[in-house]
Amino acid sequence: MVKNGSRRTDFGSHKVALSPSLIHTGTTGASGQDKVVGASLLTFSTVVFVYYTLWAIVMPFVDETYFLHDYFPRREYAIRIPCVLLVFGLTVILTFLSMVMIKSKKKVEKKSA
Amino acid sequence: MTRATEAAAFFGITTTIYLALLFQWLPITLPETVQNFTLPVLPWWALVTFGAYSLGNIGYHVLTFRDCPEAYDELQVQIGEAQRDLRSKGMNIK
Repeated sequence: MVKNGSRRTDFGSHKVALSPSLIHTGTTGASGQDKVVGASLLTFSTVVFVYYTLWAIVMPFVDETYFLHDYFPRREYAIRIPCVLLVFGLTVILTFLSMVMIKSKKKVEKKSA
Repeated sequence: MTRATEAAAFFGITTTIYLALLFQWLPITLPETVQNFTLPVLPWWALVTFGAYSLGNIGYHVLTFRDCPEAYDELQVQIGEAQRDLRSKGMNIK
């Protein structure tokens, strides 16, 4: 971003005409749709964090008969679900990576053939 | 200490303390729930927290992104000046 200290005020003999392109009429900040995406990401991540922290850290110390326990699945799933997601995510990412590497190697072989 | 060294040191110390408590190398007895459930679930909790923090950070910055109108104005003035300068030297600019 250009800092104010480097603003030039001496334009020499050129006359700076005020054309429509120099008048800024836009709005500041992200567009409406971007704001919705950003806000939804933020709320989703907050909800996930709070729910998971309650489930994994707080609930084990809460009395078994308390009503809140009805809102959470069994405790083992607090470990199984992130584990499965991690394995699944790593599989997808590494498969994609390996396919890209194989394709690029085939291209190099084709070129040199 | 460089950033990398600092991060590695923090990671190393946390991991050592965690493993010491998990495998009961120290003569400390923790409550049964903590030892059997909370300690094993902590790495997964750290992973979920890191993912949530990353996603939330991105969402927050997308939400509060500023357009910088001052930089836009300054840039437009500089573009106009550059165009005039090149035109005066004979270049054809639309």
